[in-house]
Amino acid sequence: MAPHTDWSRRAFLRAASGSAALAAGGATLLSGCSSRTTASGATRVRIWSWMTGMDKYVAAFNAAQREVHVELSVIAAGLSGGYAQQTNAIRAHNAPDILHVEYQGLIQLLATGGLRELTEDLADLAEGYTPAAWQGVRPDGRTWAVPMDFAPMAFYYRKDLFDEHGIEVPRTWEEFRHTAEAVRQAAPGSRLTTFPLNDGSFFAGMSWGAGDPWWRIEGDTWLVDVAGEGTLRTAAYWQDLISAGLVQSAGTGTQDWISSIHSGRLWGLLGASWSVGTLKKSIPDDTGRWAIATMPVWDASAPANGVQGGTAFGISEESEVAEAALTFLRWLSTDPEVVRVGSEFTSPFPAWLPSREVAREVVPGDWFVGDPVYDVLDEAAARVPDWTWGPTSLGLFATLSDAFAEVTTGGTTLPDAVRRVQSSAVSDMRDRGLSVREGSPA
Amino acid sequence: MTVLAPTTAEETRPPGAPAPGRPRRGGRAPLAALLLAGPFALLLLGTVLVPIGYALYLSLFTERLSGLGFDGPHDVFVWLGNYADVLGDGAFRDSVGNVAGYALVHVPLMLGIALVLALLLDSATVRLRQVWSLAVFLPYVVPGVIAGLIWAYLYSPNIGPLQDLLPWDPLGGNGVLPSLVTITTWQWTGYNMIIFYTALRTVPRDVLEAARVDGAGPLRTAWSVKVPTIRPTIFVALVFTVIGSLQLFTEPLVLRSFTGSVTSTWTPSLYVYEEAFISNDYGRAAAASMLLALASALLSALVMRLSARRSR
Amino acid sequence: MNTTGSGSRWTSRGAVHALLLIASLYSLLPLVWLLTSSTKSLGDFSTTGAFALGGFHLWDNLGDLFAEEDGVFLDWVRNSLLYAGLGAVLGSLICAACGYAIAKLRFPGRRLLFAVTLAGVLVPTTALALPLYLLASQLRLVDTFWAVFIPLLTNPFGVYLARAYADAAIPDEVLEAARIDGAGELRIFFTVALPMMRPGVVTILLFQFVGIWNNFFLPLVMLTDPHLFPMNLGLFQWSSRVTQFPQYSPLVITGSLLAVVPLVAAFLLLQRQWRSGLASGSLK
Repeated sequence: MAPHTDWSRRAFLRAASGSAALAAGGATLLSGCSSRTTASGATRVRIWSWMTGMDKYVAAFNAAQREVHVELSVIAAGLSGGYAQQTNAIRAHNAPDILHVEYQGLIQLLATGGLRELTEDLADLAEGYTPAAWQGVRPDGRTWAVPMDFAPMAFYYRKDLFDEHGIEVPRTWEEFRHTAEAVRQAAPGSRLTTFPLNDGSFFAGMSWGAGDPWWRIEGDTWLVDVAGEGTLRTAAYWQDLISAGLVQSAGTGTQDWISSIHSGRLWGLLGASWSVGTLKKSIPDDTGRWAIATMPVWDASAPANGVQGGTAFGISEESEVAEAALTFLRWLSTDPEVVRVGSEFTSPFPAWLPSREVAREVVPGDWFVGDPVYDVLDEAAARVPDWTWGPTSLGLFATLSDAFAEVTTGGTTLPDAVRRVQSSAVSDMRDRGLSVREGSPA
Repeated sequence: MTVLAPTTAEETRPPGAPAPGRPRRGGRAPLAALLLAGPFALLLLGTVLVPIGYALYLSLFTERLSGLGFDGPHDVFVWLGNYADVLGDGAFRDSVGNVAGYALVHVPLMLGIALVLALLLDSATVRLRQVWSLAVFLPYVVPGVIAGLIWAYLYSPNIGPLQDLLPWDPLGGNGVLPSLVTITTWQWTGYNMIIFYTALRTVPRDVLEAARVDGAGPLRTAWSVKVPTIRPTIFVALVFTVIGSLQLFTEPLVLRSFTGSVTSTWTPSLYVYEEAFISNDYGRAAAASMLLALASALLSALVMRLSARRSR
Repeated sequence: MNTTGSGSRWTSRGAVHALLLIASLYSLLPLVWLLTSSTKSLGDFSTTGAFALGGFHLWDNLGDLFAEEDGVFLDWVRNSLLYAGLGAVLGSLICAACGYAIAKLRFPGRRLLFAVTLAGVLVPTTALALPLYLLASQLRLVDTFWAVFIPLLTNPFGVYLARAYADAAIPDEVLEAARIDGAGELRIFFTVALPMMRPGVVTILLFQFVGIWNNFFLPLVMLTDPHLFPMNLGLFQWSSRVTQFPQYSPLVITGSLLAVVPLVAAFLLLQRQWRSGLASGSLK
């Protein structure tokens, strides 16, 4: 921090808040300075999260021991306001002890300077995680967060309809296009899947599978490559499918989408591990129709599978109870009990490998047909190539979906939009004073 | 927000005429005034004036990272750099364009409908006045978030009927603007109608009677007698509607969950929110806020000047 | 003007009522949709027609609504009532006092205060959100009740109205008479002026209630703890999850119904009050 400017802002704030305090009428007294321990002597740890079911994990943890008492605030989902709230809280020095971090948002939170380094604390767990998840919390070789789940993408399809019309499950993107044609031929009102133009993280996951990371760290410099060969190939491929009317382009998970997958107007879904839960909950009565496969690949000899989402948790730099927070996070990340609790309302896919074996046993597998869900997801997770998120990745998702908005009206094409996003990503990072170089590694 | 339009004695009192409520001489009145006006004055200071000053201050600084950015940000004084950035930002200019287009449709449409309905209610032929006016007024009490949600569902294909009925694609790229106009017109027509109707009730009956005797029909009476009489009310409503339009925020934010066609910076308010609370660029957000405040001040001044000229 | 059927066909009784009917349908049908949809299960919601009834699941939906996240919705109801109820009562009183002082008392800075108040009416709330947030965070008020409550007390337009009401409704002679009887200024305000301003103050109260109840930006920015949310912020948060978890749709819709009903009821019950308040406000 530049001390003098910082000082002047503080001084202004102090003066300003003085008059505001008058208006507030001593309200500070009432705002509650909660103590660090509960009445029974347990250390109080505050966590913010938007993970569904976190209340149940917290309850299970609090019931299981007496040293640490976790207090949960459910905040808005990531880009709907959760990140904003966390970043603002870090700036305002009132961050909770534990912050909800997704792999994709980790670096952006790091740039606020609000996360505590956990390299030493977690060193003993290194071997137990899916490598891509462990990599995801160690962007610069230091560990900044505790992985919870992992979200390799997967292809879900209507096995009953595929079988009925003799359609094979596509293994490559080339086959995928034929499959899309076959579906439209079999039922002209139906499509194979939707390509959600309003979801930048989806496109990021697709590009991840194409194998060209959007960011790399080279010494002290960010290497930005949003319009790399793999990404452009992905964009051109989907532009072709959209232009040919082979896929829908509406958002996934909307009411419209649910009614489409329920009524057979969509025969497939390009989703992630968490889509298992989405499907089961959206169309609970459609048992025995859907199956899961790994994502189609570009090169069958070197199969790669992208990732969309996945949760990790960080500890605030200013937390006074980091030890207790870590106790909870280690439990949350690695204890088999978490999977048992989770299996009651979702289909957890933990980053911690031993927990995944537990999940395989306790999650009911009767809704899907075909290959066992956890076999497919394990295979998908093993195929995940290297990837680094950048310090503006969350903003980039919004920029992407904004740039894609005109694709439906024919105002632009996906590859053009991607090129524009690359240049705006680079200038945005430069504006922030970051050291940036464009393109792929020399 | 609210658009009630009292024309008070203050404006019409000739200069030099004695102000009402001249208190007795003595020290008590200032003390009483302090106690009565003080709480609001403090609120105004703490929640409006100080924040504006602070926003102005913030708008002159920016935060910079360095290297990979892992060390956190530091503040840099940039004079008017943030303002230049905002004005040079295509996203901001687009948002201004969107809101201008929106206001050009929404303001005349909504106020026009409200005025016509108020005149209809005021006409002698109408039965069940209370029922009609309440029916049209009710959407006003629906919170913006919920209004947005209701209409978003109504616009959704396969759920609401509107996708098939409307001449535009309500969630498509070019349909968002009319869709938003439909929502906000729904919310505000009844409210303004009541305001206009209430004002119309104050048009002196003898004036109307005179018009009738002169052979003016209902339409002519409405246009040449009633409307000019409530013109001040209409202009106040106009000011508030224009300011309200500039601030459009909640409804497009809600629609964003249902369509990709509303960008994250679709209106200037969304732009401010995005810059402040998503991108955490406080300087740029503060500069955009100041521009927004400036624009509403200028526009209200413009409308007021227009109104003054018209009523002369 | 008062004869039926005279003039052009546009002013015939039939045409006038037809127009009013169209306007009413536009206004009411979305609310009817809210009502019918809140009786539907998630399955019926996306498979039955918009206004058609599916199975009647309103009670189930209400049960789910109040059971979700250990009944956090009940907190939201309570918070909305607290923010809007307390805020409107206190806020309208503050407005009334200040409006009365500006209209009827002479004190230094009176004109300045009024001018600044008028300017305050025009300041966009979205422009204040960021600085208010940063100030509140310095005061450690972010994510507390007060961060939302205090800024929403400020209602410059209410002061503007109160001043107009005081001007119109309170003759100076009455105040003079009270002063001659030896009553103090504060006592005069509370016992003489305030009752005379009552319809106006009730109107300010009611509209400030709606303003706070419907305010979204400030809670969105200030609050993290769901136990402090007002209803509309909570419902917005749930609606943002609908994409991944469609089961929130019935909750959002049923909750929306509950957020609308009290206001509709209040405006129906207090019709006479606010109608006359509006009338006296715009009278003069």
